Amino acid sequence: MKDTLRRVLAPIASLKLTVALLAMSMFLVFAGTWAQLDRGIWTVLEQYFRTWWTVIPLGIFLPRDWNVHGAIPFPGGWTIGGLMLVNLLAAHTIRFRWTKDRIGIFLIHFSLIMLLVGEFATGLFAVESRMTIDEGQTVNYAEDVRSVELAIVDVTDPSQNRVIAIPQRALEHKKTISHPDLPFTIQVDRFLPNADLVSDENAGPSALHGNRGAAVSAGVAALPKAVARGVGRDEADMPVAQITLKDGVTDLGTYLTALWFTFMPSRGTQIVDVGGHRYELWLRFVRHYKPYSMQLVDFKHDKYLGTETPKNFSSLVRLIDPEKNLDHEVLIWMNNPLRHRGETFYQASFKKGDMGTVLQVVRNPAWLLPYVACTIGALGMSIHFGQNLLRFLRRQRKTAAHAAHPHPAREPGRPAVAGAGAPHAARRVR
Amino acid sequence: MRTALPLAAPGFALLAVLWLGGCNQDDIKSYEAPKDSAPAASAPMGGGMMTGNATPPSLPHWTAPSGWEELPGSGMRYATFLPEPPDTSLAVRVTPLGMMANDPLSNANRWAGQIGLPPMDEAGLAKVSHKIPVGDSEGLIIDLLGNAEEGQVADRILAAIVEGGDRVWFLMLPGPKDRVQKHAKGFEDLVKSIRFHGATGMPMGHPDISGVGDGMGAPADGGMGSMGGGMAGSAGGAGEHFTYTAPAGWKEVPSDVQFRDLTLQAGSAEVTVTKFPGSVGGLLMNVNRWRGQVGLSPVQDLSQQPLTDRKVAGGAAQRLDLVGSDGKAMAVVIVPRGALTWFLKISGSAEELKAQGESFDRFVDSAGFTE
Repeated sequence: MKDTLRRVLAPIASLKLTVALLAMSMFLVFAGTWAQLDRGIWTVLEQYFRTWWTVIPLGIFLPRDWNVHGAIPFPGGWTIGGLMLVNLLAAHTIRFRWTKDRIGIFLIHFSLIMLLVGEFATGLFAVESRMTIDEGQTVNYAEDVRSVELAIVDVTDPSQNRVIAIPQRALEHKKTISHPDLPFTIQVDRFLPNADLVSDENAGPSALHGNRGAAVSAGVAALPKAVARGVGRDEADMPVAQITLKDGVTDLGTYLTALWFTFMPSRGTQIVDVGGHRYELWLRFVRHYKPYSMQLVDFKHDKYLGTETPKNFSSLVRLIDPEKNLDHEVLIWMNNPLRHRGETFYQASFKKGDMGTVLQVVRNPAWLLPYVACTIGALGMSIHFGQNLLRFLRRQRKTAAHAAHPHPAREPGRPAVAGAGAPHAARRVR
Repeated sequence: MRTALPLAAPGFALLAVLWLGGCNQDDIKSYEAPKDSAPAASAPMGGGMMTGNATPPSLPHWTAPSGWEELPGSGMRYATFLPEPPDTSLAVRVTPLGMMANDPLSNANRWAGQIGLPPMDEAGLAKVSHKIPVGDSEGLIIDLLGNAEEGQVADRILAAIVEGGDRVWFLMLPGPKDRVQKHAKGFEDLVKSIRFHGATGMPMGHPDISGVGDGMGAPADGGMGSMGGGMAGSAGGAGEHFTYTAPAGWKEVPSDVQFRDLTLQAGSAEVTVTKFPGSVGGLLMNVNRWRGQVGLSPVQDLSQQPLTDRKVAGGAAQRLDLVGSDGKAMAVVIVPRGALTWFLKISGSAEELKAQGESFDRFVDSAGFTE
C-alpha cells in the first residue's frame, strides 16, 4: 500500500516540479504586473491570479504602440498555487522524515502551506464591499461595486421586501432562469457588461431595446460599449441586461434593466404585476444585507492648516446591533478600522462636499492566516537557523579547544587524531 | 520510514473542502430585506424610490426675508436660502425627513457634537431651544453655540424643526457665530412664515420626495451629492442639477419626457435641457440623429460639420448649428459633465432661431450645474 502511494506521489513530489512551479509563478507575477498598465488591479487579479487558466498577451511586455499581437496560454494563479500545495504535501508524505532536527523545516513548510491555503480561501470566500452613508442616514447593507445582480424585488408586503437576487455570472452564462419564489421565468436575451444608454431614435441595429418598462417610457436603448480598463478615474462599467419575462407561455414583456436606472430611481423603476404580487426589476450592485445597521453621526475631513491637503478622514458612526444588544458610537478613521461580526470597516472615501462617508467593508474568514503563517514561518526559521548556529558554534568551540591543545594526552589504546571535529581526517589517519 | 503523512493528509482534505466550498458562488439567493429607507446608498443622483405613496405630500411655502435668495433644491435638500447672496458659504438648508426623525434631543446632540459640545439631556435641550408659532402649529428652534479655540470665532448652529405634511422639516443655518447672529431674526421670520399646502409641484430640479422618510435622523447637511469614491470613483458629476437664467419672454413649460430636465418656450421655438448617462452613443451618432430631425441626411464623419468649441459653466463644450432643407433649424450645445452628458437644445424654424439667437447664447452663458 505504502509502495503504491510512493509510486503515485513520487512524480508529484518532484523537486524539479517545485523549481518549475516557482519559475512559473515568478513569470505570472511579472506578467500580472505589466498587465496593470492597461487593466485595473481587480481585473488583473481575476484574469491572471484567481483563475485556473489564463492567456497572456505578448503585447503587455512591449511598448503599446508596437501593436504586437499574439498571446500564450498559461496556468493561472490557482493552478500554480494549487500544484505547489500538492507538490509540497506530496513531498512531505513520501520524502520528509519527522525528526527533532527538522522541526524548523517543518514549521517553515507548514507556514507556506498556510499562506497558500489562506490565499485560496481569500479568493473563494472573501467579500469586499462598500457601505455608503449620508450624515444622519442609517444603512443596513453594503454593496459590491465590482459586480451586479438582477434583483427581482417583491414589494407587495408593506412591511418588508422579498428579494430574489440573480448574480452577474448567471446573467452572463444562463439563457433561462427560474426560481421557486418567482412566478415567471427570466429569459436573458443579452447581457452587456458595459453599455451606453442612448435615445432609441436612430439607435442603430446593434442596440438593445425593451418593449415594456423604463426603456420605453424613457425612450432609450442600450448600445454595447468596450469594457472599462479600470485604470482611469472616470471609467466604470455600466452593465445592461435585456430580459424577457415569461409566465408559462405568456410573454410578460421584454425589459431593459440597466445599472444606470438605480441612479435615477424615480425614473428607472420597472414594475411587473403578476399573480397579485408587485415586483420591481433592478440591475444593481450586489447587496449584502447585515443583521445590524450603521448611522453616520458625523464625517470629518481635516486638512492641514491653510492648505487643501487632507490630514485625516474620520467617520463617527452609531453601530446598532439588536442581536448583540449593541447601540454605541464608534470612530473609524484612516488605519483604524472597526471590526464587528468578522467584518472590518475601513475609512475608504467620502461623498462630495463631505456630506457622507464611504466605508470599505471586508469579510475575510482567512484574514488571520497570513499573520499566523508568518509567525510560524519566523519561528521555524529561528529554530532551523538557531540549530545550525548552535552546531556551528559547537564545532568552533571544539576547533578552538583542539587548537589550544594540539596533542592531548592519548588514551591508552586510542589512535592519534589530526584534530577535533575532523573525523574524516581521523579516519584517514587511522 | 516515518513520513509526514499525518501533516499532509489534513492538508489534502482542506484543499478538497475549499474547492467544494467555492463551487456555489453562482447561486440565486432569495431573502427578505427591509424596505429601502432612502435611495440606493451609492446612488449619485438624488431622488426617492417610489414606494407606492400615491398621495403627494403637503409642501411648505414661505416668505424669504428681504435680501435673501432662494435656490432650488437638490438631492434630499428641498431648498437652500442664501442670507448674503451670492455668497454660498452661509446658507439655510431645508431638508424633509420621515416622522421617525422627529427626535429633537438626538438631533440636537448630534449637531452639538459637530461643533464640539458635549451631549445634553432634556433639561439641557430646554435651555438651548424655544418654541415659535408656525401657522396653526408650532416649531422648535435650537440654538447651539460651540466653544471657540483661541484666536478663532466660535461656530453656531441655528436649527428649526417643523412638522408638516406627514414629514418633519429641518432648517439649519450653521456658521461662524457673528455671521449667524446677523441673520438669526431672518431665520426665525422664515420659519414663522412656513405654511403647508397640498403639493402643487416640486421646485424646479427637485426630485420626487415621496419615498423619503424612514431615515432615523436628520442630515447635518441634507445634500445627497454624488458618491465621490463610490462605484470606483467614476460617477462624478452625476448628482448635478441644472441652473439657468431665462431670457425675457421665455417661459418654462411642463414636460413629462423622461431624462429631460427642462423645457422652455422661446417664441415658437422650443428649448430643452436633457441629460443622459455616458457618451450617449458618441458624437457622430447624435449629430446624425439631429440632422435627421431637421431633414438632413446622415454623414460619415464630423470633419465638415459646423461644430464649434465653447465653454459652459467653466467646462469644455461643443455647439452644433443645423439648418435643414425644409426650413427647420436647431442649435445644440453638448456639455460633458463627469459621467453625464447634458444637451442644451433649441429647435424651431430657421427664422425663429435667428430671432432667438442672442437669447439662446445668454441662456447658455447663464447655465450652471450645482450639486
